[in-house]
Amino acid sequence: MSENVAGAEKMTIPLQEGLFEMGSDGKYHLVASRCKSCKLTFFPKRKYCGKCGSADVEVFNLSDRGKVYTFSQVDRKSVYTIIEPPYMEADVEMPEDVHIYTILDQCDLKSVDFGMNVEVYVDKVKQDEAGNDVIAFKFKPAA
Amino acid sequence: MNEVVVMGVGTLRFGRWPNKSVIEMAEVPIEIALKDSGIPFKDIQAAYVGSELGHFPDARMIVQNFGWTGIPISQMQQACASGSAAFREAYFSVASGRYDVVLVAGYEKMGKGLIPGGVPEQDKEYHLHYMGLDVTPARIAMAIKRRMLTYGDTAEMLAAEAAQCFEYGPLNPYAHNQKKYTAADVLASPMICSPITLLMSCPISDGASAAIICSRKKAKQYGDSRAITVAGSFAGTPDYNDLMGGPGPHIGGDFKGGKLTARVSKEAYEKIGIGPEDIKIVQCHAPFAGGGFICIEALGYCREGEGGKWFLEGKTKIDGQVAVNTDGGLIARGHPLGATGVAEIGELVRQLRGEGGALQIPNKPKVAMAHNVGLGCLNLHILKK
Ligand SMILES: [Zn+2]
Repeated sequence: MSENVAGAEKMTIPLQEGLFEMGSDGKYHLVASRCKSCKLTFFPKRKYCGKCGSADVEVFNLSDRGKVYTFSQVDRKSVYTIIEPPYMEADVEMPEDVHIYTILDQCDLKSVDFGMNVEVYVDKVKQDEAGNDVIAFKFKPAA
Repeated sequence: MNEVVVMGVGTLRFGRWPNKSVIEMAEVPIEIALKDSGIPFKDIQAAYVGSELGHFPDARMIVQNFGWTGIPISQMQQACASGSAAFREAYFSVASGRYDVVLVAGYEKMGKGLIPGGVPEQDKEYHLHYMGLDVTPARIAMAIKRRMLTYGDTAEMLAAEAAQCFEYGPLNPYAHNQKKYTAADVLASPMICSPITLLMSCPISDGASAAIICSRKKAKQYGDSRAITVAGSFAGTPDYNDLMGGPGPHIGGDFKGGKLTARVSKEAYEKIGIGPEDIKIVQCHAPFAGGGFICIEALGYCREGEGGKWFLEGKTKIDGQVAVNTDGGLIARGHPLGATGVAEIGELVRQLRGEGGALQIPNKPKVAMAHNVGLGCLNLHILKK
Protein backbone atom coordinates (compact mmCIF):
# COMPACT_ATOMS: atom_id res chain seq x y z
CA MET A 1 0.00 0.00 0.00
CA SER A 2 1.13 3.57 0.45
CA GLU A 3 4.62 3.72 1.80
CA ASN A 4 6.45 6.84 2.81
CA VAL A 5 9.57 7.20 0.77
CA ALA A 6 12.32 8.72 2.85
CA GLY A 7 12.67 12.36 1.96
CA ALA A 8 9.41 12.44 -0.03
CA GLU A 9 7.64 15.72 0.56
CA LYS A 10 4.25 15.61 2.31
CA MET A 11 1.51 17.22 0.31
CA THR A 12 -1.49 19.28 1.31
CA ILE A 13 -4.63 17.89 -0.29
CA PRO A 14 -8.09 19.48 -0.17
CA LEU A 15 -10.86 17.27 1.19
CA GLN A 16 -12.83 18.33 -1.88
CA GLU A 17 -11.47 20.06 -5.00
CA GLY A 18 -12.87 23.38 -6.13
CA LEU A 19 -14.25 24.78 -2.88
CA PHE A 20 -11.35 27.13 -2.11
CA GLU A 21 -8.10 28.26 -3.69
CA MET A 22 -4.89 30.00 -2.67
CA GLY A 23 -4.93 33.65 -3.70
CA SER A 24 -2.02 35.85 -4.73
CA ASP A 25 -2.13 37.21 -1.16
CA GLY A 26 -1.06 33.80 0.15
CA LYS A 27 -4.48 33.16 1.77
CA TYR A 28 -7.21 30.69 0.94
CA HIS A 29 -10.47 32.08 -0.44
CA LEU A 30 -13.80 30.37 -1.16
CA VAL A 31 -14.69 29.94 -4.84
CA ALA A 32 -18.21 30.73 -6.06
CA SER A 33 -19.94 31.25 -9.40
CA ARG A 34 -22.25 34.01 -10.56
CA CYS A 35 -24.61 33.87 -13.51
CA LYS A 36 -23.90 36.64 -15.98
CA SER A 37 -27.54 37.02 -16.96
CA CYS A 38 -29.52 36.61 -13.71
CA LYS A 39 -26.64 37.59 -11.40
CA LEU A 40 -27.36 34.83 -8.90
CA THR A 41 -24.40 33.55 -6.87
CA PHE A 42 -23.90 29.91 -5.93
CA PHE A 43 -21.48 28.20 -3.60
CA PRO A 44 -19.97 25.74 -4.37
CA LYS A 45 -19.45 27.09 -7.88
CA ARG A 46 -21.70 25.65 -10.56
CA LYS A 47 -21.09 24.93 -14.23
CA TYR A 48 -24.73 25.85 -14.95
CA CYS A 49 -26.65 28.60 -13.22
CA GLY A 50 -29.02 27.06 -10.66
CA LYS A 51 -31.83 29.36 -11.72
CA CYS A 52 -31.75 29.72 -15.50
CA GLY A 53 -29.40 26.89 -16.50
CA SER A 54 -27.03 29.20 -18.39
CA ALA A 55 -23.41 28.04 -18.71
CA ASP A 56 -22.33 31.66 -18.99
CA VAL A 57 -21.14 31.99 -15.41
CA GLU A 58 -18.14 33.73 -13.91
CA VAL A 59 -16.06 32.15 -11.19
CA PHE A 60 -14.79 34.45 -8.44
CA ASN A 61 -13.58 34.52 -4.84
CA LEU A 62 -16.08 35.26 -2.10
CA SER A 63 -15.37 37.68 0.73
CA ASP A 64 -13.63 36.09 3.67
CA ARG A 65 -16.19 37.30 6.19
CA GLY A 66 -19.87 36.63 6.73
CA LYS A 67 -22.52 36.61 9.46
CA VAL A 68 -24.09 33.67 11.28
CA TYR A 69 -27.64 33.35 9.91
CA THR A 70 -28.55 30.33 12.03
CA PHE A 71 -26.81 27.49 13.88
CA SER A 72 -27.24 24.24 15.78
CA GLN A 73 -24.98 22.34 18.12
CA VAL A 74 -24.75 18.77 16.82
CA ASP A 75 -24.37 16.11 19.52
CA ARG A 76 -24.71 13.01 17.34
CA LYS A 77 -22.22 11.61 14.84
CA SER A 78 -23.37 10.85 11.31
CA VAL A 79 -22.03 7.89 9.38
CA TYR A 80 -19.19 9.32 7.31
CA THR A 81 -18.11 12.29 9.37
CA ILE A 82 -14.54 12.78 10.51
CA ILE A 83 -15.56 15.56 12.92
CA GLU A 84 -16.21 14.58 16.54
CA PRO A 85 -19.38 15.88 18.20
CA PRO A 86 -20.25 18.12 19.84
CA TYR A 87 -19.60 20.68 17.13
CA MET A 88 -21.37 23.76 15.86
CA GLU A 89 -23.00 23.67 12.44
CA ALA A 90 -23.82 27.08 11.06
CA ASP A 91 -25.46 28.65 8.05
CA VAL A 92 -23.33 31.68 7.23
CA GLU A 93 -24.75 34.53 5.18
CA MET A 94 -22.11 36.06 2.90
CA PRO A 95 -22.12 39.65 1.59
CA GLU A 96 -22.46 38.24 -1.95
CA ASP A 97 -26.00 37.06 -1.02
CA VAL A 98 -25.20 33.38 -0.76
CA HIS A 99 -25.45 31.07 2.26
CA ILE A 100 -22.83 28.50 3.25
CA TYR A 101 -23.17 25.45 5.48
CA THR A 102 -20.09 25.14 7.62
CA ILE A 103 -18.48 24.02 10.84
CA LEU A 104 -17.95 26.91 13.23
CA ASP A 105 -14.74 26.19 15.08
CA GLN A 106 -12.30 27.91 17.43
CA CYS A 107 -15.17 29.30 19.45
CA ASP A 108 -16.99 28.74 22.71
CA LEU A 109 -20.07 26.80 21.56
CA LYS A 110 -22.23 28.72 24.04
CA SER A 111 -21.15 32.10 22.69
CA VAL A 112 -22.42 31.56 19.12
CA ASP A 113 -25.25 33.91 18.21
CA PHE A 114 -27.21 35.29 15.26
CA GLY A 115 -25.38 37.93 13.27
CA MET A 116 -21.99 37.00 14.71
CA ASN A 117 -19.12 38.09 12.45
CA VAL A 118 -17.20 35.05 11.26
CA GLU A 119 -14.34 34.47 8.84
CA VAL A 120 -13.33 31.55 6.68
CA TYR A 121 -10.11 29.63 7.28
CA VAL A 122 -8.61 26.40 6.09
CA ASP A 123 -7.73 23.72 8.61
CA LYS A 124 -6.17 20.26 8.55
CA VAL A 125 -9.00 17.78 9.18
CA LYS A 126 -7.12 14.49 8.83
CA GLN A 127 -4.02 12.77 7.54
CA ASP A 128 -4.39 10.38 4.61
CA GLU A 129 -2.69 6.97 4.27
CA ALA A 130 0.35 8.49 2.58
CA GLY A 131 0.82 10.92 5.45
CA ASN A 132 -0.45 13.94 3.52
CA ASP A 133 -2.44 16.63 5.28
CA VAL A 134 -6.07 16.77 4.18
CA ILE A 135 -7.50 20.27 4.50
CA ALA A 136 -11.02 21.70 4.50
CA PHE A 137 -12.62 25.08 5.05
CA LYS A 138 -14.31 26.08 8.28
CA PHE A 139 -15.39 29.37 9.81
CA LYS A 140 -14.31 30.95 13.10
CA PRO A 141 -15.21 34.15 14.95
CA ALA A 142 -13.73 37.09 13.04
CA ALA A 143 -10.71 38.68 14.60
CA MET B 1 -58.81 11.51 -16.46
CA ASN B 2 -60.71 8.63 -14.92
CA GLU B 3 -61.87 8.82 -11.32
CA VAL B 4 -59.58 6.83 -9.03
CA VAL B 5 -60.62 5.36 -5.68
CA VAL B 6 -58.85 3.67 -2.80
CA MET B 7 -60.50 0.32 -2.14
CA GLY B 8 -58.32 -1.11 0.58
CA VAL B 9 -55.53 -0.15 2.95
CA GLY B 10 -53.25 -2.03 5.32
CA THR B 11 -50.31 -1.41 7.63
CA LEU B 12 -47.79 -3.61 9.44
CA ARG B 13 -47.22 -2.10 12.86
CA PHE B 14 -44.17 0.14 12.70
CA GLY B 15 -41.40 -0.96 15.02
CA ARG B 16 -38.42 -3.26 14.86
CA TRP B 17 -38.75 -6.47 12.85
CA PRO B 18 -35.20 -7.93 12.89
CA ASN B 19 -36.36 -11.48 12.14
CA LYS B 20 -38.66 -10.70 9.24
CA SER B 21 -37.47 -10.30 5.65
CA VAL B 22 -38.88 -7.33 3.76
CA ILE B 23 -41.00 -9.82 1.80
CA GLU B 24 -42.54 -11.14 5.02
CA MET B 25 -42.97 -7.60 6.33
CA ALA B 26 -44.79 -6.39 3.20
CA GLU B 27 -46.94 -9.53 3.08
CA VAL B 28 -48.86 -8.37 6.16
CA PRO B 29 -50.23 -5.02 4.91
CA ILE B 30 -50.82 -6.34 1.38
CA GLU B 31 -52.92 -9.18 2.78
CA ILE B 32 -54.89 -6.72 4.93
CA ALA B 33 -55.37 -4.29 2.02
CA LEU B 34 -56.54 -7.02 -0.39
CA LYS B 35 -59.04 -8.28 2.19
CA ASP B 36 -60.16 -4.71 2.95
CA SER B 37 -60.74 -4.09 -0.78
CA GLY B 38 -62.56 -7.34 -1.51
CA ILE B 39 -60.37 -7.70 -4.61
CA PRO B 40 -58.45 -10.94 -5.24
CA PHE B 41 -54.72 -10.68 -6.02
CA LYS B 42 -55.23 -12.25 -9.45
CA ASP B 43 -57.14 -9.11 -10.53
CA ILE B 44 -54.18 -6.78 -9.82
CA GLN B 45 -52.86 -5.44 -13.15
CA ALA B 46 -49.77 -3.53 -11.97
CA ALA B 47 -47.84 -2.81 -8.78
CA TYR B 48 -45.84 0.19 -7.54
CA VAL B 49 -43.58 -0.31 -4.53
CA GLY B 50 -41.78 2.46 -2.65
CA SER B 51 -38.55 2.10 -0.67
CA GLU B 52 -35.39 4.14 -0.25
CA LEU B 53 -32.94 1.63 1.19
CA GLY B 54 -34.25 -1.51 -0.50
CA HIS B 55 -32.43 -3.73 -2.96
CA PHE B 56 -33.20 -4.17 -6.63
CA PRO B 57 -35.19 -7.45 -6.52
CA ASP B 58 -37.29 -6.48 -3.46
CA ALA B 59 -40.34 -5.09 -5.25
CA ARG B 60 -40.72 -8.07 -7.56
CA MET B 61 -40.25 -10.56 -4.73
CA ILE B 62 -42.73 -8.71 -2.51
CA VAL B 63 -45.42 -8.81 -5.19
CA GLN B 64 -44.56 -12.26 -6.61
CA ASN B 65 -44.88 -13.62 -3.07
CA PHE B 66 -48.63 -13.49 -3.84
CA GLY B 67 -48.29 -15.06 -7.28
CA TRP B 68 -46.27 -14.96 -10.51
CA THR B 69 -49.02 -13.28 -12.50
CA GLY B 70 -46.64 -11.56 -14.91
CA ILE B 71 -47.78 -7.99 -14.20
CA PRO B 72 -45.45 -4.97 -14.44
CA ILE B 73 -43.88 -4.13 -11.07
CA SER B 74 -42.12 -0.81 -10.49
CA GLN B 75 -39.93 0.29 -7.61
CA MET B 76 -39.89 3.96 -6.59
CA GLN B 77 -36.99 5.47 -4.68
CA GLN B 78 -37.58 8.98 -3.38
CA ALA B 79 -36.07 9.09 0.11
CA CYS B 80 -38.72 9.68 2.80
CA ALA B 81 -41.32 10.23 0.07
CA SER B 82 -40.80 6.86 -1.69
CA GLY B 83 -44.20 5.52 -0.57
CA SER B 84 -46.17 8.53 -1.76
CA ALA B 85 -44.18 8.45 -5.01
CA ALA B 86 -45.39 4.86 -5.54
CA PHE B 87 -48.95 5.97 -4.74
CA ARG B 88 -48.64 8.91 -7.15
CA GLU B 89 -47.46 6.78 -10.08
CA ALA B 90 -50.12 4.16 -9.31
CA TYR B 91 -52.74 6.90 -9.27
CA PHE B 92 -51.69 8.24 -12.68
CA SER B 93 -51.60 4.72 -14.14
CA VAL B 94 -55.28 4.31 -13.26
CA ALA B 95 -56.36 7.91 -13.95
CA SER B 96 -54.88 7.67 -17.44
CA GLY B 97 -56.92 4.56 -18.18
CA ARG B 98 -53.92 2.28 -18.58
CA TYR B 99 -54.97 0.01 -15.69
CA ASP B 100 -58.08 -0.49 -13.57
CA VAL B 101 -56.76 -2.29 -10.48
CA VAL B 102 -53.34 -1.47 -9.01
CA LEU B 103 -51.42 -2.42 -5.88
CA VAL B 104 -49.32 0.12 -3.98
CA ALA B 105 -46.90 -0.85 -1.24
CA GLY B 106 -44.18 0.86 0.79
CA TYR B 107 -41.64 -0.75 3.08
CA GLU B 108 -38.37 -0.08 4.84
CA LYS B 109 -35.97 -1.93 7.04
CA MET B 110 -33.80 0.68 8.70
CA GLY B 111 -30.26 0.46 10.02
CA LYS B 112 -29.07 2.09 13.19
CA GLY B 113 -28.30 5.71 14.03
CA LEU B 114 -28.68 8.81 11.90
CA ILE B 115 -29.45 8.37 8.23
CA PRO B 116 -26.72 9.94 6.10
CA GLY B 117 -27.89 12.37 3.44
CA GLY B 118 -26.04 10.44 0.75
CA VAL B 119 -22.89 8.47 -0.02
CA PRO B 120 -19.52 10.31 -0.32
CA GLU B 121 -18.30 8.30 -3.33
CA GLN B 122 -21.48 9.16 -5.26
CA ASP B 123 -21.91 12.79 -4.29
CA LYS B 124 -20.60 15.91 -5.92
CA GLU B 125 -20.57 17.70 -2.58
CA TYR B 126 -19.06 14.92 -0.53
CA HIS B 127 -17.28 17.30 1.85
CA LEU B 128 -20.67 17.78 3.56
CA HIS B 129 -20.65 14.12 4.63
CA TYR B 130 -17.09 14.13 5.95
CA MET B 131 -17.53 17.47 7.72
CA GLY B 132 -20.67 16.32 9.56
CA LEU B 133 -22.90 18.71 7.63
CA ASP B 134 -25.32 16.07 6.35
CA VAL B 135 -27.15 15.54 9.65
CA THR B 136 -30.85 15.85 8.81
CA PRO B 137 -32.08 16.93 12.28
CA ALA B 138 -29.42 19.69 12.26
CA ARG B 139 -31.03 21.13 9.13
CA ILE B 140 -34.44 21.51 10.71
CA ALA B 141 -32.81 22.53 14.00
CA MET B 142 -31.16 25.46 12.21
CA ALA B 143 -34.44 26.42 10.55
CA ILE B 144 -36.26 26.30 13.89
CA LYS B 145 -33.48 28.24 15.58
CA ARG B 146 -33.93 31.00 13.01
CA ARG B 147 -37.72 30.88 13.59
CA MET B 148 -37.09 31.42 17.29
CA LEU B 149 -35.44 34.72 16.36
CA THR B 150 -37.94 35.72 13.68
CA TYR B 151 -41.26 34.55 15.16
CA GLY B 152 -40.50 33.81 18.80
CA ASP B 153 -40.96 30.04 18.52
CA THR B 154 -40.13 28.36 21.84
CA ALA B 155 -38.94 24.98 23.09
CA GLU B 156 -42.38 24.63 24.73
CA MET B 157 -44.04 24.88 21.31
CA LEU B 158 -41.74 22.17 19.94
CA ALA B 159 -42.54 20.00 22.95
CA ALA B 160 -46.27 20.57 22.40
CA GLU B 161 -46.06 19.18 18.86
CA ALA B 162 -44.12 16.10 20.01
CA ALA B 163 -46.44 15.57 23.00
CA GLN B 164 -49.47 15.67 20.67
CA CYS B 165 -47.86 12.86 18.66
CA PHE B 166 -47.27 10.86 21.86
CA GLU B 167 -50.89 11.42 22.89
CA TYR B 168 -52.14 9.71 19.70
CA GLY B 169 -49.42 7.09 19.20
CA PRO B 170 -50.67 4.81 22.02
CA LEU B 171 -54.18 4.95 20.49
CA ASN B 172 -52.91 3.81 17.08
CA PRO B 173 -52.36 0.04 16.92
CA TYR B 174 -49.90 0.57 14.03
CA ALA B 175 -47.69 3.09 15.85
CA HIS B 176 -44.12 2.26 16.87
CA ASN B 177 -44.28 4.28 20.06
CA GLN B 178 -47.04 3.06 22.37
CA LYS B 179 -45.87 5.11 25.36
CA LYS B 180 -47.39 8.40 26.37
CA TYR B 181 -44.75 11.08 26.87
CA THR B 182 -45.62 14.54 28.17
CA ALA B 183 -44.21 17.87 27.00
CA ALA B 184 -42.01 17.83 30.12
CA ASP B 185 -40.62 14.40 29.15
CA VAL B 186 -39.89 15.73 25.66
CA LEU B 187 -37.99 18.73 27.02
CA ALA B 188 -36.04 16.60 29.51
CA SER B 189 -34.83 14.08 26.89
CA PRO B 190 -31.23 14.39 25.58
CA MET B 191 -30.42 17.12 23.09
CA ILE B 192 -29.52 15.83 19.59
CA CYS B 193 -29.15 19.04 17.59
CA SER B 194 -30.09 22.11 19.59
CA PRO B 195 -32.99 22.88 20.03
CA ILE B 196 -34.17 19.41 18.87
CA THR B 197 -34.23 16.73 21.61
CA LEU B 198 -34.38 12.97 21.18
CA LEU B 199 -38.15 12.85 21.83
CA MET B 200 -38.70 15.62 19.28
CA SER B 201 -37.32 13.23 16.63
CA CYS B 202 -38.86 10.29 14.82
CA PRO B 203 -37.60 6.94 16.12
CA ILE B 204 -35.84 4.44 13.88
CA SER B 205 -38.56 2.07 12.72
CA ASP B 206 -39.07 -0.78 10.30
CA GLY B 207 -42.47 -1.01 8.68
CA ALA B 208 -44.64 -1.70 5.66
CA SER B 209 -47.93 -0.43 4.31
CA ALA B 210 -50.16 -1.05 1.31
CA ALA B 211 -53.18 0.20 -0.62
CA ILE B 212 -55.33 -1.12 -3.44
CA ILE B 213 -56.56 1.49 -5.90
CA CYS B 214 -59.07 1.12 -8.66
CA SER B 215 -60.96 3.05 -11.32
CA ARG B 216 -64.44 4.07 -10.08
CA LYS B 217 -66.00 2.18 -12.96
CA LYS B 218 -64.27 -1.06 -12.02
CA ALA B 219 -64.85 -0.42 -8.29
CA LYS B 220 -68.60 -0.63 -8.81
CA GLN B 221 -68.18 -4.29 -9.84
CA TYR B 222 -66.59 -5.11 -6.49
CA GLY B 223 -68.91 -2.86 -4.45
CA ASP B 224 -67.72 0.69 -3.86
CA SER B 225 -69.70 1.78 -0.78
CA ARG B 226 -66.49 2.22 1.27
CA ALA B 227 -64.39 3.56 -1.60
CA ILE B 228 -62.53 6.85 -1.05
CA THR B 229 -61.84 9.09 -4.06
CA VAL B 230 -58.34 10.32 -4.83
CA ALA B 231 -59.19 13.92 -5.76
CA GLY B 232 -55.70 14.74 -6.95
CA SER B 233 -52.01 13.96 -6.90
CA PHE B 234 -49.43 16.77 -6.85
CA ALA B 235 -45.65 16.79 -6.65
CA GLY B 236 -42.60 18.97 -6.88
CA THR B 237 -38.96 19.52 -6.08
CA PRO B 238 -37.50 22.73 -4.63
CA ASP B 239 -36.65 25.56 -6.99
CA TYR B 240 -33.47 27.64 -6.64
CA ASN B 241 -35.33 29.99 -4.33
CA ASP B 242 -36.10 27.28 -1.76
CA LEU B 243 -32.49 26.40 -1.07
CA MET B 244 -30.90 27.00 2.30
CA GLY B 245 -27.15 26.94 2.75
CA GLY B 246 -26.60 26.54 -0.94
CA PRO B 247 -27.76 23.86 -3.31
CA GLY B 248 -26.69 20.23 -3.19
CA PRO B 249 -28.22 16.88 -2.40
CA HIS B 250 -28.68 17.77 1.26
CA ILE B 251 -31.22 20.53 1.13
CA GLY B 252 -33.35 18.48 3.46
CA GLY B 253 -36.83 18.42 2.05
CA ASP B 254 -38.75 21.52 2.89
CA PHE B 255 -37.09 22.76 6.03
CA LYS B 256 -36.25 26.31 5.09
CA GLY B 257 -39.68 27.80 5.22
CA GLY B 258 -42.12 25.46 3.54
CA LYS B 259 -41.96 27.23 0.17
CA LEU B 260 -42.19 23.93 -1.70
CA THR B 261 -45.21 22.87 0.37
CA ALA B 262 -46.81 26.28 -0.21
CA ARG B 263 -46.23 26.08 -3.97
CA VAL B 264 -47.50 22.51 -4.43
CA SER B 265 -50.51 22.94 -2.12
CA LYS B 266 -51.50 26.15 -3.92
CA GLU B 267 -51.54 24.21 -7.18
CA ALA B 268 -53.65 21.48 -5.51
CA TYR B 269 -56.16 23.99 -4.11
CA GLU B 270 -56.54 25.74 -7.47
CA LYS B 271 -56.88 22.57 -9.55
CA ILE B 272 -59.41 20.92 -7.22
CA GLY B 273 -61.20 24.14 -6.33
CA ILE B 274 -60.90 23.81 -2.56
CA GLY B 275 -58.97 25.56 0.20
CA PRO B 276 -57.51 24.66 3.58
CA GLU B 277 -60.87 25.55 5.16
CA ASP B 278 -62.36 22.50 3.39
CA ILE B 279 -59.71 20.06 4.67
CA LYS B 280 -60.16 19.26 8.35
CA ILE B 281 -57.54 16.51 8.59
CA VAL B 282 -53.92 16.47 7.44
CA GLN B 283 -51.19 13.87 7.79
CA CYS B 284 -48.10 15.98 7.38
CA HIS B 285 -44.45 15.11 7.08
CA ALA B 286 -42.84 16.25 10.34
CA PRO B 287 -39.94 13.95 11.27
CA PHE B 288 -38.83 16.51 13.87
CA ALA B 289 -40.89 18.83 16.04
CA GLY B 290 -41.37 22.17 14.35
CA GLY B 291 -41.97 20.45 11.02
CA GLY B 292 -45.67 20.70 11.80
CA PHE B 293 -45.44 24.48 12.35
CA ILE B 294 -43.84 25.03 8.95
CA CYS B 295 -46.42 22.73 7.36
CA ILE B 296 -49.64 24.23 8.66
CA GLU B 297 -48.37 27.70 7.80
CA ALA B 298 -47.32 26.67 4.28
CA LEU B 299 -50.62 24.84 3.74
CA GLY B 300 -52.47 28.05 4.59
CA TYR B 301 -54.09 27.09 7.91
CA CYS B 302 -52.49 29.97 9.74
CA ARG B 303 -50.22 32.92 9.04
CA GLU B 304 -46.44 32.59 8.88
CA GLY B 305 -45.05 32.40 12.39
CA GLU B 306 -48.30 31.23 14.04
CA GLY B 307 -47.73 27.49 13.64
CA GLY B 308 -46.02 26.97 16.99
CA LYS B 309 -48.79 28.79 18.81
CA TRP B 310 -51.40 26.62 17.09
CA PHE B 311 -49.76 23.46 18.43
CA LEU B 312 -49.34 25.00 21.88
CA GLU B 313 -53.03 25.96 21.96
CA GLY B 314 -54.21 22.57 20.71
CA LYS B 315 -55.73 23.90 17.48
CA THR B 316 -54.09 20.97 15.67
CA LYS B 317 -55.66 18.27 17.85
CA ILE B 318 -58.33 15.78 16.84
CA ASP B 319 -61.07 18.20 17.92
CA GLY B 320 -59.14 21.32 16.85
CA GLN B 321 -59.42 23.56 13.80
CA VAL B 322 -57.43 21.09 11.72
CA ALA B 323 -56.56 17.59 12.97
CA VAL B 324 -52.84 17.10 12.29
CA ASN B 325 -51.12 13.72 12.40
CA THR B 326 -53.96 11.86 14.11
CA ASP B 327 -52.04 8.57 13.93
CA GLY B 328 -49.12 9.95 15.99
CA GLY B 329 -47.26 11.28 12.97
CA LEU B 330 -43.67 10.45 12.16
CA ILE B 331 -42.57 11.19 15.74
CA ALA B 332 -44.80 8.57 17.43
CA ARG B 333 -46.10 6.35 14.61
CA GLY B 334 -42.57 6.05 13.28
CA HIS B 335 -40.96 6.73 9.93
CA PRO B 336 -39.77 3.70 7.95
CA LEU B 337 -39.05 5.87 4.90
CA GLY B 338 -40.86 4.03 2.09
CA ALA B 339 -43.73 2.92 4.34
CA THR B 340 -44.61 6.39 5.63
CA GLY B 341 -46.41 7.85 2.61
CA VAL B 342 -48.70 4.84 2.15
CA ALA B 343 -49.40 4.64 5.91
CA GLU B 344 -50.55 8.29 5.78
CA ILE B 345 -53.04 7.34 3.05
CA GLY B 346 -54.20 4.39 5.20
CA GLU B 347 -54.94 6.58 8.22
CA LEU B 348 -56.84 9.11 6.09
CA VAL B 349 -58.91 6.42 4.36
CA ARG B 350 -59.94 5.02 7.75
CA GLN B 351 -60.81 8.53 8.99
CA LEU B 352 -62.89 9.39 5.92
CA ARG B 353 -64.74 6.06 6.16
CA GLY B 354 -65.47 6.75 9.83
CA GLU B 355 -63.35 3.73 10.82
CA GLY B 356 -60.79 5.76 12.77
CA GLY B 357 -61.43 3.97 16.07
CA ALA B 358 -60.17 5.80 19.16
CA LEU B 359 -58.57 8.40 16.87
CA GLN B 360 -61.69 9.15 14.79
CA ILE B 361 -62.06 12.90 14.40
CA PRO B 362 -65.55 13.95 15.50
CA ASN B 363 -66.64 16.28 12.68
CA LYS B 364 -67.05 13.58 9.98
CA PRO B 365 -64.35 14.82 7.57
CA LYS B 366 -65.17 14.85 3.87
CA VAL B 367 -61.73 15.83 2.53
CA ALA B 368 -58.25 14.89 3.75
CA MET B 369 -54.65 15.64 2.80
CA ALA B 370 -51.54 13.46 2.82
CA HIS B 371 -48.28 15.45 2.72
CA ASN B 372 -45.02 13.50 2.37
CA VAL B 373 -41.60 15.09 1.90
CA GLY B 374 -38.37 13.36 0.92
CA LEU B 375 -34.88 14.85 0.77
CA GLY B 376 -35.58 17.41 -1.91
CA CYS B 377 -39.03 16.30 -3.12
CA LEU B 378 -42.68 16.43 -2.13
CA ASN B 379 -45.82 14.44 -2.93
CA LEU B 380 -49.24 15.66 -1.90
CA HIS B 381 -52.52 13.78 -2.21
CA ILE B 382 -56.06 14.94 -1.60
CA LEU B 383 -58.63 12.30 -0.68
CA LYS B 384 -62.40 12.79 -0.72
CA LYS B 385 -65.32 10.83 0.63
ZN1 LIG C 1 -28.89 32.45 -14.44
